[in-house]
Amino acid sequence: MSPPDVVRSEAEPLVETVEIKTHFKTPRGIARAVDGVSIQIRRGQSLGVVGESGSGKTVLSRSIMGLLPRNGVIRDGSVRYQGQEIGNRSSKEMRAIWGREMAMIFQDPMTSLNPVMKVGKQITESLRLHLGMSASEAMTIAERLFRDVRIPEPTRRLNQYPHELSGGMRQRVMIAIAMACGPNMLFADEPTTALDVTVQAQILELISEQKRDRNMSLLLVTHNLGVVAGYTDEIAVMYGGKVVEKAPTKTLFADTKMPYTEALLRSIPRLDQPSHSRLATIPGRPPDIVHPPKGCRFAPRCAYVRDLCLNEEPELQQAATPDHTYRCFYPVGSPEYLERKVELTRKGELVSTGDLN
Amino acid sequence: MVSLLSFAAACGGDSSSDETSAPTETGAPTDSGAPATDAPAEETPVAGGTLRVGLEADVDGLDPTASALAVSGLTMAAAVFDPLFTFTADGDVVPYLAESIEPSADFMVWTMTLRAGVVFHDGTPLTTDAVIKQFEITRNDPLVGLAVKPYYPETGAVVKIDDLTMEFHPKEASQFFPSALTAQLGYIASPTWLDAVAADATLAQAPVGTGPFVFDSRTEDSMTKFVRNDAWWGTDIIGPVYLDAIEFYPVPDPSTRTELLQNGDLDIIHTTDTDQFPTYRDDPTLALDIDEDGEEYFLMINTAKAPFDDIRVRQALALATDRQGYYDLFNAGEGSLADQMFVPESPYYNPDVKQDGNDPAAAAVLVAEYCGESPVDADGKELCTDGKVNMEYQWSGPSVLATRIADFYNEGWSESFNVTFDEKSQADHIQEAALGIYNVVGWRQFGAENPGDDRVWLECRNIGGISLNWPRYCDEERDALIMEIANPATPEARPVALQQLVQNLHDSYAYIFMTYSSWAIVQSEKVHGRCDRVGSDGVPLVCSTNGRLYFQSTWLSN
Amino acid sequence: MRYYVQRVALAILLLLAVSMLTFGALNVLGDPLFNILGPVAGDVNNPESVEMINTAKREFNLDRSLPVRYGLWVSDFVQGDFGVTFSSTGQPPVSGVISERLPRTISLVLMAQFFAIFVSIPWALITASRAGKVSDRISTINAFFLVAMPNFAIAVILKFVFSIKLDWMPLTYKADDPLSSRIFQMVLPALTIGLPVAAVYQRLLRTDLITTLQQDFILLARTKGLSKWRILFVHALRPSLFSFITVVGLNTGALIGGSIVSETVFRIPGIGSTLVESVLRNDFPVVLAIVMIVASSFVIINLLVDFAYTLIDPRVRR
Repeated sequence: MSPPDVVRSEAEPLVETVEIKTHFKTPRGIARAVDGVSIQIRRGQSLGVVGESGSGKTVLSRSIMGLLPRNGVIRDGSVRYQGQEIGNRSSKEMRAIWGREMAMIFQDPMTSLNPVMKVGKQITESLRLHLGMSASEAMTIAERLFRDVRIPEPTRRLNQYPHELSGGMRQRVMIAIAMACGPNMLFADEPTTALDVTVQAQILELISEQKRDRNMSLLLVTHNLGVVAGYTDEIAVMYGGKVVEKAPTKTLFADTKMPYTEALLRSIPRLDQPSHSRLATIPGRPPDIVHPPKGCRFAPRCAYVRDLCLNEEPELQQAATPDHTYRCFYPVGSPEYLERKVELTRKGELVSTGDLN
Repeated sequence: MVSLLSFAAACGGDSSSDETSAPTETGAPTDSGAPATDAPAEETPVAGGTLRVGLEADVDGLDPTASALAVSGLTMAAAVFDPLFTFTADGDVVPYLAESIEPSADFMVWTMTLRAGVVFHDGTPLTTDAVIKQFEITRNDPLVGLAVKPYYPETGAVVKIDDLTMEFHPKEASQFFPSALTAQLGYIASPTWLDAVAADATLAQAPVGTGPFVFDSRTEDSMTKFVRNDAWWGTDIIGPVYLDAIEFYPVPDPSTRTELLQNGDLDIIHTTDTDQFPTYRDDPTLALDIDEDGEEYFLMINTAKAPFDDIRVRQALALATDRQGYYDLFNAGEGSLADQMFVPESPYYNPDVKQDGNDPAAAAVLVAEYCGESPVDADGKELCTDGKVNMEYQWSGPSVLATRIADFYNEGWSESFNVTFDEKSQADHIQEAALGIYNVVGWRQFGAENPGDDRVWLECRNIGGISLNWPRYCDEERDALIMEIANPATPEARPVALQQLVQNLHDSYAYIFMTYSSWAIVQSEKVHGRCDRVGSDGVPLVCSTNGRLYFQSTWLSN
Repeated sequence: MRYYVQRVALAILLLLAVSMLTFGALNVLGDPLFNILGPVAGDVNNPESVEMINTAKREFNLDRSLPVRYGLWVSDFVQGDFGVTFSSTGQPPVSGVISERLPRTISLVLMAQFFAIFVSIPWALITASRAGKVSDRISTINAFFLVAMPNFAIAVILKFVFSIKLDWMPLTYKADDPLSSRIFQMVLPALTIGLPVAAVYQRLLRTDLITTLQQDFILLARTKGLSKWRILFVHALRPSLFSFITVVGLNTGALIGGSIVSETVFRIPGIGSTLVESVLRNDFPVVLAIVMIVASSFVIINLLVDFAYTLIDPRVRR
């Protein structure tokens, strides 16, 4: 079920999960937020994890980092970093890895920076902790980092509080903080969602550039397929706690297999469309992860659903292209798919999709 | 009359264990000699050390001409001042700061001579002028003066003969005249200091007398310190002063006082909190001395006001009172029930007089008879409702204990009385008692060292706007008895007359006697010689009176 | 600047209102004459007594109308003259009573506040970081126990344990002892009033900390690999202190109230015990002076609290 081994012998995966299951205790019961996910990220590579909210994409990244909230726990499977099992480590043990080996950029730079601490201090504290620098040494490095992330007047900015900076500037500070100790692995969780459209590209560019310059690995979590398109080597699409399609970025766009992925593609906001035009949304709601449906988790919302989909869960399928896997009985392009598509087009239910395909 | 001095501080002690009430300055012939627990006589006193005394309250000031001195104030005053006269252990009055006193044949003029060569702590010599000056200041004080004015003529009350000799001219003859000069009126203060106090009243906190101890320092509500008077006039005549210093700590909470004593932070305390008595007995390091010869606690009835102007109602209230229950509940097995103003050991005790009580059936009969007459008061208001007499019980509060006691009384009374509770602030409580605006109150009184001095509470002439005869009960027969007791010509008639007075008090039903007030004086085992005080002629002097203590002869071992 | 001028003006108005109400209430509810004259004060049928009453009324301005007396009092008060006590001699001056006793109460309240803050902060940090666990629940029970227990009961327990059983601490305060001893003697009284307050602070701060700990910036701090205590102290504590500081400020008044019990039990001659005595004696000038001191400290502390916000949260600084 896992993709064929294309890893070169010297390029072991930096981060790898094997069938991890992350469960949350909720008043309604056990929520299977991540339900058997295997991913691999090699050094210098980037993986985009895409899905709607509740798909488990954020939980996946937090599971890898070991930053689950108190009611969440990895029930099964394994998380490896540089070949070492880290899924069962305590927060105390993970502290050596956090900041130094792995870093994270959050969605909202307003709430993710400590509002009552000067940004300079927020960046130097990890330098001083992990690299044992003196206050002045750390300040010099911080200034250099600020320059790296293209913050103008870095000396002055270091002495400012987050509320004195613009949103984009704050996210640059966040990136600088994440970069501070030269991590090998960067998690970026919706890094541009809260930002102004005009700044989004700049930030993504910056992240990408940093990744390249430092030969970091990147896990980019987003709900927007369009965001990951230009910045990732590989994309994993998640739905209801499972990876439903995974492929190298180009392959995924060129040869989409999952109807869900196809629906996500339709919901990408496009710069060439007027901003007031309605985005295509996927009808229905994400699946209940406490009591998931019996068959394919996407089936209740899938336009191409058939009886089999409702009764049996599809296994991960290997597509023609290497590294391309998906979970669907009737993928895009299959005879059943085409048959249904014709019916739907006739009924006018796929009006808005025509121009996308 | 001495007793009047502190009547502003006096109040209705609602219980023998009510610490908030300051007892009036009175006392009976007290315990003779040292208590059994005191140091063996053969031990030799040593000088030195500081005695730390726990008192039940602090004083507003220590000016004998103006301050209202209750037990704590009198204890402090006794260390820094000397009285002109003092009581012996047998209850006789002997000269102290005075050298001698002689009455005229008709007892209308008393010639007093002061000791020569006595100086106050500030160096001012003790002279006739000093005594006369203090007498006049006292007489003019709005409060303390009330105790002096009625008994002396406007002019010529005290006449100077020479620097050490003077004559007192009281309004009437009494064989007890010097006993008035044993406490507050007899504590002579430096005239220089009295002048200074008149200019700056805060100086009343730093008394200057002739006493065995000299004022050193004072922090209000914390500590007052006196040090030994090395130049005390009495060292050769009376005896040496052993202590280097005395520190007086006012500790109003009785259990804290006990804790401090047990913890070694205090050397001696006094208390009326009977709950603590067993603790003292159980502690082998403490010496306990219980003094029951002082005041009595009783319920006092205003006989001038309906319905209690009718003797049947007063008797009914006494009968309806659960005295035994009160004793069991509030005295914790300590002390004893009182039937009259004298203890059984007193020569004046009247064995035939028993306080009525614990007979609700008899009370109901009397009330039924009274209410059957449908009595109304002066305004035409019904005095009975539903066959029960309407009455008010007043106490000074707020006090949890006093409220509990009121509830307890009501349980016994409610069969025959509709009781309204009236909790008053202490000031209002005293004022309304003095002005006769009450039905029934709890009170502590009597037990003067000289029983004749208790007459101020009993005479017809002390009824008026402000009455010291609080129940406002006037009986010419009683006044005649009092005159007979005081009559210098008939000392032999005195014991019988006092016994008759006891009977008279009982028959008036103006007082419902409850218990003897028990004062415990508790000291650590290193305190000795407290009761070894003697007069100039070697006669043993009174050891303690109503919790009042004297420290001239006290010494500390180790 | 204008904001501060407004605040100060408002504070002065507030104090005027407090003084007016207190002055009015005292004069309506009580009669100070007894404290000056004793029972003579009520003996209105005796001409001699009436003469004394009138003299005393003149001497203490009691014969003037209420507004006039209030005016006289205010003008004296703002010039630092707190008047004379209502005793037979008018002595000692109120300022004397206050200046002798106030420092003791202030020390007591400050020490209580010190204990309350330095007990509650670590307590809140520990429980907030373990919210919902057994230790947190036990602490919650303890906190409610402390809050529910009357001050005098705490005093008795502290005394029994630390003074009588263990003999570590002195039983009472002695105003004449050297400063070092007095500080030591102040510990139990301060704990008596400080502990329940600490429990209140802890409850409040714990809740705010739990909210703060769910913020993204805490997660970011964790991803930096900071230690748990550094996160709690450096990142979580300061942004959680807003309501804490407000309540600490407001509680200073409550602590002065609590000091009445503590002062009585531990024999501290402070203004708390004097307030009670003076109210019972209708000694208005003393009561007024104390009420005004307490009210002024309330007002000043609240101004300071506003100022403290700007120190804690740079966003308020404008």
